[in-house]
Amino acid sequence: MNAGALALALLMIGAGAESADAPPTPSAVFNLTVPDVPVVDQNGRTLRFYSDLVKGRTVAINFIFTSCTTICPQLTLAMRRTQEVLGQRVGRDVFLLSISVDPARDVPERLRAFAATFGAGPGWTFVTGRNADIARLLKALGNTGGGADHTTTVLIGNEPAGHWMRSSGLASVATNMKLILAAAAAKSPRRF
Amino acid sequence: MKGRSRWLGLVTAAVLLRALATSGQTPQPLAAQEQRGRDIYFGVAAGIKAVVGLPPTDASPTLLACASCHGRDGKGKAEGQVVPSDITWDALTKPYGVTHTGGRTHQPYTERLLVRAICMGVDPGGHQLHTAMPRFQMSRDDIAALTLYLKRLGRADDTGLDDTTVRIVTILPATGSFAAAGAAAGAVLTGYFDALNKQGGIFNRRLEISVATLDAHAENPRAIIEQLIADTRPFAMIGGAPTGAERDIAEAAESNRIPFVNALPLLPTWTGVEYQHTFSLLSGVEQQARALIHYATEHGDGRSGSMAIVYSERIASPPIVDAIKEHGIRAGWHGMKVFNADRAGTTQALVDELNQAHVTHLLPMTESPALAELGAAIAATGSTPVLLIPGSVVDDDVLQLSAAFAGRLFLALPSLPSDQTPAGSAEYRTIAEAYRLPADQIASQIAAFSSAKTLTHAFKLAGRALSREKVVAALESLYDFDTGLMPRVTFSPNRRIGASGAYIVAVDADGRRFTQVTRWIGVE
Repeated sequence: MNAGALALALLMIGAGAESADAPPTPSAVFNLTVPDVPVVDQNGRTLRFYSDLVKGRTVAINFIFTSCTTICPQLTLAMRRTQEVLGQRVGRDVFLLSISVDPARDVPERLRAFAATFGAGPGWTFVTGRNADIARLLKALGNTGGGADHTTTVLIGNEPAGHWMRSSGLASVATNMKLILAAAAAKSPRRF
Repeated sequence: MKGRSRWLGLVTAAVLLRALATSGQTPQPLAAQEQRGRDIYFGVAAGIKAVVGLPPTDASPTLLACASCHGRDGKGKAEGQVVPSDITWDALTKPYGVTHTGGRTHQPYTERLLVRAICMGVDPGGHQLHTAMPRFQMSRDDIAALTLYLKRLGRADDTGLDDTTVRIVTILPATGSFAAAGAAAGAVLTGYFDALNKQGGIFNRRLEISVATLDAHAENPRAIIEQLIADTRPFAMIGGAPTGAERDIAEAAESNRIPFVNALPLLPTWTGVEYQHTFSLLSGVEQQARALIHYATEHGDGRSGSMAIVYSERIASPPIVDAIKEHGIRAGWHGMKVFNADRAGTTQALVDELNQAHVTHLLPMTESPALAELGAAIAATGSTPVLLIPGSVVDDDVLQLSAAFAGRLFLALPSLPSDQTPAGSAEYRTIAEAYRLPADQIASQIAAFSSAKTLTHAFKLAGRALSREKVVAALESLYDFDTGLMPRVTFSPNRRIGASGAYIVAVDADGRRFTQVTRWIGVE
């Protein structure tokens, strides 16, 4: 390999590399029990988190709060980019969910305004709810911090297939897109 | 009832001032380039582009303002395992280089290397910065302005707080009908904080109150307020008398993350939390309307009647009106009708519609002179529905309607003189005597005094390691807090109206005397 080719190769690796503070690599596949707590969406409708939003679906779930100025805009922008790339498949093959980690403050009006700011479309639901219900939900989904201590995790899962993975909401859109498509393509376990 | 005009002065003030004509000048910033840099840092400057993420996505620079992650002081605030770097100039240019959390090191920044980091996302060592750091595109002039601002960032006392002093600013009307109210509120606040400082302040910090004034005719109050904040750098803000620019103050407080305690809520009225940092002690039009519906439901011909809401969007937004209508329907007023006065055409056309609907109870959320004209026009047709009027929209012309609507004119008031407890009155009198406060303008004095008492109580709750976040949390934790001069105050993460409710008073035929007809009606 001559020097020019080497430089070119390095450049290409550079372009594909994540930053100096690389986000964590995606987790292995695991199964997950999603609690069926009552939640309220950005339009003020009361829904059951598992029955109405997760059951029978492939979902990407992130954790935000509307008064967060640091990473939530970034996480939400990445989710919007995912929405753009998936296009018509959002709301049909894949559903996007953003759970508020600050339910007391994030009333539906605030979630609606936040969703509008980031151009969230159909098939992307923002949820809040009673403190105790959301706390139970966050614990079950592995978001153990509170308030500003929330993780940058994106939880990607295919509920019927029992195929769940964690990735970083700051990872490249291409990385998370691969995981979402892999989840959507996962087969349900055979039942005998 | 005595003290009518005082209380009306308070409750109608916000409405009246908004109608004042506008003219005047915005002061020129002293260092325009530095101000431009500050605007870029806080994401309010036009002409900046930002991309973020992998692959890079265009995003609004307002969402990705430097201050959002690096903080107002440039020191960075960690969130969700992301630790934004300290970007104060001293930290960036340490002669022996910079070591980040996680061990990454590089040589010190120079101006040229800083421009490269901001525009290309690369540190002095050639490493890519964190994915969360956007890349910005801006003109040479803008990058120079931003660099200039970064050099002073963190050195300036940006928060109005140090170990010995807490700085508080109040913005009061200097001219117009509320100039005297403004002067009285300023005197109260000066006295209140001086007395507190003589007792040792709070956690050994002096409370330094700056009284700023706003011309009632100012053309661009928001710009003046922003400049005032940039110049005085308050830790917290407090209200007293209405400037007519309360919404501008609330917006400026929000964008600068400054807690702002005020007696009167903003108009148009709003449910829940519109601004995180603004706390209003008294109820607004929405809560007053709900209390009036409650009263009408419990008294007189009640539910068998037909109620109409006439509203203006300057007083109540359509979603709020819908919520009030729903509230009425749930209370049993099945035939609730809603009319938008801004779109109704002539007053006569609106009166005809109301008469055709056989309205027995009218709940207006409009302002004078339209409100007074509407009442007079209805009376002229021989129809006299019960008038249920939120105190915040009442003025002397509206009270004149009492002649035609004798015994059928009711107001919802957010506070009454009977709210004053012996202890609260004594505390006020001590300050009033020591600082020779004026004997008039009692409403704005009470507004300022109660706001000061509430804010300082929150300072005490927040503790020695004071921060604005802790003050907001402390205010949110107040439950039935007694200022001694107003109804008790409760806030929560979802509640920015302290005393959510009203008293109903009947107005006598000459419009001079009020008779209290209910106890406090609390509404959610």
